[in-house]
Amino acid sequence: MNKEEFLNTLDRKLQVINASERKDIIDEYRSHIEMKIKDGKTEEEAIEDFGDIDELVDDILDAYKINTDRVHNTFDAKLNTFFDQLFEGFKRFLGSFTSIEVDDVVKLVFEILIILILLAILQIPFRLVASLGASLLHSIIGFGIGSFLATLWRIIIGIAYVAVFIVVFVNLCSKRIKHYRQDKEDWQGETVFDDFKNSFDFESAKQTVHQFTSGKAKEQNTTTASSEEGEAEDSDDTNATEDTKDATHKEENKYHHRYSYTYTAKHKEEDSTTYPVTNGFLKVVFALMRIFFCLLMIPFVLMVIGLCCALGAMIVISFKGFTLPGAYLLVIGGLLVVNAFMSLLYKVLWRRG
Amino acid sequence: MNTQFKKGVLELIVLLSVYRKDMYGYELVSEVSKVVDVNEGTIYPLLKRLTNEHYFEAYLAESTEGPPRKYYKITSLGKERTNVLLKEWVTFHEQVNTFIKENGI
Repeated sequence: MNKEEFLNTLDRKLQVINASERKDIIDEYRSHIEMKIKDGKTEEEAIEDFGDIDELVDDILDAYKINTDRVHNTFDAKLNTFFDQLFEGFKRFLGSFTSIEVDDVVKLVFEILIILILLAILQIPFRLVASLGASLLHSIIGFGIGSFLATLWRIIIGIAYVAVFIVVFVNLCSKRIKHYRQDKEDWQGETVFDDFKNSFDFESAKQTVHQFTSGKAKEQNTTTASSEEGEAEDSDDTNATEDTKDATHKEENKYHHRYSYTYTAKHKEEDSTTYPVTNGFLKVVFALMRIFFCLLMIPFVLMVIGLCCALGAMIVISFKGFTLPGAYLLVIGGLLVVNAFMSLLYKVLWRRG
Repeated sequence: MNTQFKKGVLELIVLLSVYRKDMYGYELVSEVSKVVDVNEGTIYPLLKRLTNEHYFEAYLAESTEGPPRKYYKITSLGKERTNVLLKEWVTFHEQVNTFIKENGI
């Protein structure tokens, strides 16, 4: 081994030490070897005098460990034990009121974060539609009524976004919790993204449009609707777990679970397949939720009308020789997004054919 | 010689050598080698540690031959440390010798 080889090997084996310190050490060894050569020894002999390179490396690291150990004992070790204790306490705290494993809870929190981020991204088209519509109203109708309508438009879009946010968030969260609560056998390997995609499944959306028309007739006799629902659910529960491939059934499952989850949590029941549908209280909640969702539909309808108006206005503008391709894309995209949200709402509202 | 003996006493020898006069690495290695047969490579990590613990200060000085040399100078903290280690060594040495004599060897 010659001098450069030796020094390179040493450098490589001492990577754990920081660069400047390492350079310092290497320089010392370099000058040592050079002086030995000056004293009449050969390069090889000078290096042989160091003995086994691995032992030398161990010695050097040993000399450093003394310093680093001291640091560890005072601060790092204390910090580590503190965090360990904190985590243990957290685990026990969670374990006291939930049956979900602590690892799953961590995963769940992470997934909820992902959902929140996705929903935050969804806010962008809403904002664009809101500002576009508002500015159009402003410029077409003029000040006074125009600005009033623009403010109204902004408020409507804002409410619509909040509504979509709540619906999507609650649905997805309940679905995730269901996944974790059920046995691992029932786990379909769906990620949070799959669930999110399912919420915007256009195929199932088409089906629900049909359901919407047939469900409308049902909606007229609202007095019996809530009680019917309770009975119908009873029969549904039996085959709910069997038939998971059907997209609409899936939606039902999801919806069911949201309420049964709150119930089971209250009664500390582990078995999520026994739905307590005979409970009168839940029926009232169902009916109220239905009315709530009906109200939520209104801004969406208004949004579609607004977007259509915007499209019409833009066509008129383009006839006057003023085309905005970007604006067209925005409006059409907005229409698609609103359509997706409306179909999602249909699914939740009229989930029965 | 027993490597454990060497390791224990090496620090004291290095401290005492630098106490007498400032030295550069290679000079120190030759000095120490006169007393204990030690692997030349192990002196440098020790010098590094003693510097990190503020017993030594390092500075560069021009030499008549070749590049500037890195000299080590003892600090007041290093002097204290030397005195402590020296006292410890003396007592330890006496105790061991007394023990050997008592056992009639």
